[in-house]
Formats: sequence, structure tokens, C-alpha cells
Amino acid sequence: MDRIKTWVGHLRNDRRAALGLILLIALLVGAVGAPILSPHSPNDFFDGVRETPGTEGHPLGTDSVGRDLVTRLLYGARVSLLVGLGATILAAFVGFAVGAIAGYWGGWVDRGLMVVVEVFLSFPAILLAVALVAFMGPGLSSVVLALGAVGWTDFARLVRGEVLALKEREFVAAARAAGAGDLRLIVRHLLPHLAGPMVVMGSFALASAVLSEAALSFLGLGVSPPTPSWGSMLADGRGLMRVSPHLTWIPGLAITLAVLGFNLLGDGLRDFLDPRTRY
Amino acid sequence: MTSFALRRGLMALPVLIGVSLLVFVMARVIPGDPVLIATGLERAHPEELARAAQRLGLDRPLPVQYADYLGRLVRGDLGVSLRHQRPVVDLILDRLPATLELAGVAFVLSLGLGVPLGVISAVRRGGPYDYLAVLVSVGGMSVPAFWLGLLLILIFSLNLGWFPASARGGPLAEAAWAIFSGGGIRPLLRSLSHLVLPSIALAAPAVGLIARMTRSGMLDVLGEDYILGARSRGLPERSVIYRHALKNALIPVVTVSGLFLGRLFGGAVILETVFAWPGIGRLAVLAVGRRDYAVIGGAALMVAFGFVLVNAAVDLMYAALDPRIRYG
Repeated sequence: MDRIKTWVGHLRNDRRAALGLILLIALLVGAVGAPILSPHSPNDFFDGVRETPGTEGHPLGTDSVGRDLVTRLLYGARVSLLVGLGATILAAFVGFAVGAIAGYWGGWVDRGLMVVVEVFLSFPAILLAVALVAFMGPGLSSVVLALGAVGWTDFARLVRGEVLALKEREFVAAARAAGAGDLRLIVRHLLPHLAGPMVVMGSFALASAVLSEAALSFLGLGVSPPTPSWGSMLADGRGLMRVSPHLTWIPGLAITLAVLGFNLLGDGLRDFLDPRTRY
Repeated sequence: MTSFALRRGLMALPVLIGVSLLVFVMARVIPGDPVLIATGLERAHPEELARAAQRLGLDRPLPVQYADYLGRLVRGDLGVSLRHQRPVVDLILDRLPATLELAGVAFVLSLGLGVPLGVISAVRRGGPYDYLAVLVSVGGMSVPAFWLGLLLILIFSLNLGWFPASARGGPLAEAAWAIFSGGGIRPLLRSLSHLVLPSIALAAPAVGLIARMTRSGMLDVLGEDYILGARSRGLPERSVIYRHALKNALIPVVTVSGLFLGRLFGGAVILETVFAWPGIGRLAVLAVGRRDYAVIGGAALMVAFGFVLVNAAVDLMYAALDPRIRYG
């Protein structure tokens, strides 16, 4: 609790992190409060006419088939957040397990696992995600699995490095002398030390998962239509760029602000947890 | 040096095998029915499917299938595209130059913009330039490249009409050669005009990353004793920054250049779709829509192989340039 208070105090001096937090709160409010904030359903059609922004009842206009853009943006935030969180939690979990095992046991276990990490890093992330979704078939769970599968390596390398350094420390020897087993040592004694750096990395991982989800749905590999997703909204507006440029501007802006929010928050958290890197 | 090269080569081998195993697992283990996928048959008689499975060797145990797959891989056989009815290797090699060209131009662009931005930011630390540079770099990392691509098309192609919105304007190298072989400058201009928008969109995220790395590298180096030494000997500030500091600050940037090229390849997957650029990314994305699985797997495999080999080559170059690495 005290740490959180200190952090809030820190935010006053770190305007960029504060901006990031504001963006993310807006994202969360939009996603959770979508049914309250908008009187429409994301899949309601209005006259089949494409409206420009500023029309009564449709502040940002309607899309190519006449669905309210604000409503679809709000519901699209749900997809972004859901996929981002799901993929990041999966990646953090797998990455932690692999990294802790590699760093803790070392030797051939470490070498073997690091080869696996390198194998995954050999693919451009988005290409691997595209291939995985292609073979698994599109859909929410495929996207989460695919993005988790490309994201875990960063966590694994981070955790391995930290564990390699931590396991030589005295408190580890003390815990072991007190009779702690390997699993208990890793989870009870090493994990708390890793929480900070993992939260920082989690924030950046969320940024890149939201970005990748948008890219996958833009390519038609995301959640199935008609579920609104910012990426597929961009793809939808693409054919109408000349007549309705707002269909290109607005969803892209939403993606950018969400990703920016996570990036700024990650920067802020890192500066807070490791003041040496502070600007 | 020879022993280092040998060791480095041996290190790449398990990774290459791992890459092939991962692609194999993706193609044969994950999907519902590999026979349907390999044959492209949607609704077929069970007997027909069984025959196809036997013909393709898909009825044998997985380890045997993998050994078989590896054997064909070594001979450069990645299978045949269902859609194009051509070997996947040929399809990929046809499109590789276009992707390399786009990624290469974006690479040059991102270094050319990112390094100066990072230097200014570090030298004017805390000033308005620094703030602007940090803003540009965080912004560049947060803007989706494909959206930036769409906006560039919207503004510079549809509205202003300055650059073409799609397709490749002929190979850049050939166009450049035309100047010397009497073809004039037009082919080069044409080729470049098609490259402008996609390469800017592709480079933007990398500019941000490179600017950040250069900035923190410069800040580290500027605090070193030899910089103080250089200043105390009365060297002009320009010389201190560019001759003494920048060279060392760039080491981490150069070290990850192979990684950057890999990222640019990934970005190209999407941007090629936006700009209808006839490269590997577009090939792979189109193959997804057409359920042409041999092409998807083949493209992923070839790109990953290329990445592993380029990284090994980069390491060898370093070892040749910097003896500390060989013995480190």
C-alpha cells in the first residue's frame, strides 16, 4: 500500500507516466462501460447510410454499413484489452517458468531452453503469429495463444538473467539452509524480487500485444466478425479512404493512444523502480 | 578465428533444427486435419482422403514424418503451393528481392534518422530538442506501422498525388544501373517514388528504437573519463562528440542491427499488404486467405533461416573486427 502511495506521489513529477495512466484509465472505462456509455449495440445498422462525424446521434459517424462508430470503438476496446491481457499473462507465466528453470538449474537445462528461446526469436514476431493463427484458425483464443507464443521469450530472458544473479545471493543460501525446496525457493523467495521488472516488461508486452492484435485483425486474422476490433475497423475503412477518411483516422488513433498509454506507463514504472535510468 | 567460426556455426545448427521442428509442429500437429490441409480437399470421400494420406506419407508416425520433412528440406524442397502449383522455394525466391529492397531502404532510413535524433537528444539533454526527440521516438514506437502507411497513402497519394499508393516501380538496383547503361534517370525515379511511402512507414518504429538506443548509449559514453580527457586536451566539442563519443555509443546499436533487420522483415509482412508490394509478406498473407499452407510454413521457415544465418554472419564480422569477442 505504501509503495502505491509513493508511486502516486512519483506520478506528480512524471507527467509522461501520468499521461499514460490517464490514457489507460480512459481505455478501461470505455471497455467496461461500453453498454452504459453508448445507447446502441455495436452491430445495430442505421439506415444503411454512411454518416459523417457530427451527425446527430452519431458523434463520430457510422461505418461502411451504417454501424455507429463510437459504439464500435468502445466495444473494440474490450477486444484489445482482453487479447492484450490474455496474451501478456500467458507470456509472463510461460516466460517466468522457462526463465526460472533455466537460470536456477543452469547447465544443459539452461543451454537447451535458451536454444528454444532463440528458435522463437528467429521468426519475425508478426509472421510467426500470422502462421500460428493460420494453422489454428482465426478466433479470440487463437489470437491470444499466438501472441502469447511470440511474447514469452522476452520474459524468459529477463527472468533467467535475474535468477542467475539472484541465486548467488545470501538470502537464497539462507532459505535453502532453512530447508526450502527448489519450488518454494523459486516461488516464495525469487519471484518477489522479479515482480518489479516483470511488471515493467508486462506493460511493454501489453503495448505490443495490443499492436499485434490490431495488425492481425487488420489482416483478417483476428476475432471473427461482426465483433468489433480496431484493426478490422481499419481494414473496413480502407476501401472508403477517399470519401470517408474518418474511418481510417479514428480507429488508428484509438490503437495509437492505447499503445502509447502502455508504453508511457512502462517507461514511468521503470523509472520509478530503477531510478538510475530516469531522465 | 577459424575455431570461432566453427563454434559459431555449430551454435546455429540446433537453432536451425529447432526452427524446422517448430514449423513442422505448426503444419502437422496443430491443425485439425493435416490431410485436408495438405491436399486442399474440402469435402472428400474418406477413401480418397486415406489414399491421399498414404501418398503424402501422412499416415506414418510423426517422428518418421519429421525425418522425411528434414530430408526434403536439406534438398531445398519446401513442398508445392496448392494455389500456384509451383515449388514453394521458387515462389519465395521470386519475391525475396522485393522484400529485401523494402527492408533495406527502411533500414538505411531508420539509421539515417534515428542516430542523429538520438545524438541531438543526448547532447541537448533536457532541452526542447531532447523532449521533441523523445516524443518522436515514443510516438514512432506506438503508431501502428500499417496505420501510418494508410495515412501516408491518404495524404500523399490520394490527396496530394505526390507518390504512388501501391505496387513496386521496378527493382531499385536495375533502375540504378539503367543510368550507366543509357536508360536514363527515369527508371530510378520511378522505382524510388514507389519506395518512398512504404519505406517511411516501415522505418518509423525503428527510428524510435534506434534514437532511444543512441541516446542512452551517448549519455553513457559522455560520462566516461576519456571524453573528459579529450575535452581537457582542448579538442573542439564537435570532434569530441562525433569522433570520440559517437563511435563507442553506436556499438550497442550496431550489435542489434541484425535484430532490427528481422523486425523490419516482420513489419514488411503487414506493410506489403497495405502497399500491394510484391514481397514475401504479401505472399504469406495471401496464402493464409487461400489456405495455401505449404506457402505459409515455407515463408516462415525461410525467413527464420535467413535471420539465423544473418545473425551468425554478423557475429563473425564482429569477431573479425574486434578480437575481444573471439576470446571473451
